[in-house]
Amino acid sequence: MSIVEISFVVEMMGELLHYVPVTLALAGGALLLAVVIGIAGSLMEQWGPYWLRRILAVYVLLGRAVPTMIMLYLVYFGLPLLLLALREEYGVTIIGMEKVPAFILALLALTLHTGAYLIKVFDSAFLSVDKGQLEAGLATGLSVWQSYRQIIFPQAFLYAIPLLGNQFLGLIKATSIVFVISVVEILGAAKVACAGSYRYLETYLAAALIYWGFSIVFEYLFIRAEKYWGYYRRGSEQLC
Amino acid sequence: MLMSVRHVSKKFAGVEVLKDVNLDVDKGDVVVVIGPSGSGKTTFLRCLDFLETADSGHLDFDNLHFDFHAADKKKIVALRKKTAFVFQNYNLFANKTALENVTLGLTVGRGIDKDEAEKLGRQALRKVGLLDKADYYPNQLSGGQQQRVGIARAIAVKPGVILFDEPTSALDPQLVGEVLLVMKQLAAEGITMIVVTHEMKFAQEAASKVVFMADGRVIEEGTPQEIFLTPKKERTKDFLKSVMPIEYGDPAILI
Repeated sequence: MSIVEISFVVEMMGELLHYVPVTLALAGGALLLAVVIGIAGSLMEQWGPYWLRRILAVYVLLGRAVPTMIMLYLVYFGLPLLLLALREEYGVTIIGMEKVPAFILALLALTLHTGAYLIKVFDSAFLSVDKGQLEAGLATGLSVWQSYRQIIFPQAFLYAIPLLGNQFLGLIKATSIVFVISVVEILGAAKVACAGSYRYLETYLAAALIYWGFSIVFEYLFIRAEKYWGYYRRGSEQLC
Repeated sequence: MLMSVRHVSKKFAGVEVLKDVNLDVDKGDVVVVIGPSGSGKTTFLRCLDFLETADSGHLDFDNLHFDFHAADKKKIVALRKKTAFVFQNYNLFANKTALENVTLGLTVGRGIDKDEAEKLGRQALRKVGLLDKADYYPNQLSGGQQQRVGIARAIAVKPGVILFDEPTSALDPQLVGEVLLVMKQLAAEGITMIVVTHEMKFAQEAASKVVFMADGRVIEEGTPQEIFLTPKKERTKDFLKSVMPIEYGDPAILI
């Protein structure tokens, strides 16, 4: 008998692959929501009133300072209390607030955590767009919003793509700790499997292989996305 | 009078960069503003398009009246729709083709339908000799070509006046000529222009009025002959000597 039984690893991978949708839904969902927070937050930092900018600064600071796992706990234990308090104090009732699924809470915690980073990511993306681009838009008779929509957003987004890719790979790994609030994804499923089989190495190796697979696939996809979105940067080499 | 600018003053961090600058522009005028670096020419031009906000002064343009420090946002947009700006470093929209650069102000800015805008856009590109580059991105064009697209973008909207901010300063010497040629052509067609530049030959050949600025003030203004051949102020003479040591004082080259 060899140290690592390959066939068991393969078998384990087959089982763990069932949890890929959970991991992807968490990471993908959190990234999409965090992108909204990131863009909106970054714009409000630039254009918003002073008090809002202060609140955002606190959020960015705290959101990035807290370990993801603590953020999970804070949301998992804190949000239901907050909702209860809202009902007691103000009579606000939200349907389903009695038992919010752990998956939703995990998604929320990852979103809050990632959103704080993405505000910074979009700050740098917006800063990377030459300010002459906005001036040219305005001078051409466009409003600020039209200039952003037509010129600034498409260019800023391109600068953000590699950073979003980074963040997404980080998120995929971060999903592996949502097991602490009882959401079962790839690593959670691996742990459960170990408890029955006692074959720790093979099981975790199977999980690792899946994460490696993710990393390879998504790194490639983000590079493709950057090439695709950067259509207007192509072709300069033909000129020389 | 198409445009009348009065008493423009501006400070940057306590430093006075514009001190009571006045300017009158008639329809068809080609006003060329010259002067040493740091004289406030570019700031003055940018104030006219509200890319900078002057601290005081007012502007009358085509029946619109503005107080520089308290101008209404909607009116500023209205002003910008009647003017065009050509930037020192072109500022073409990087994510748009040459044609899209020219048509964006027509479609999104002015609500002209796409087919009509493309027709006008192609006309403008033909005028600057770049119709064959309509589908190129700025990244694929040389500096001179980019600036000509910038000029096409400006003329396509048929503005009352085009503001040029050192349009050739960022160009390699051999690319300057093609841009100046286009500008001279526009001047000859009677398009009203205010041009901030260091190109003295352009000022001599194309200007209807030359304004010499230094230290945030208009020192002297007049026809090219007056400024270049018979400048009255010492400051003007010193400047001309320093920028054109050979040409200055040699009327034969001018006439």
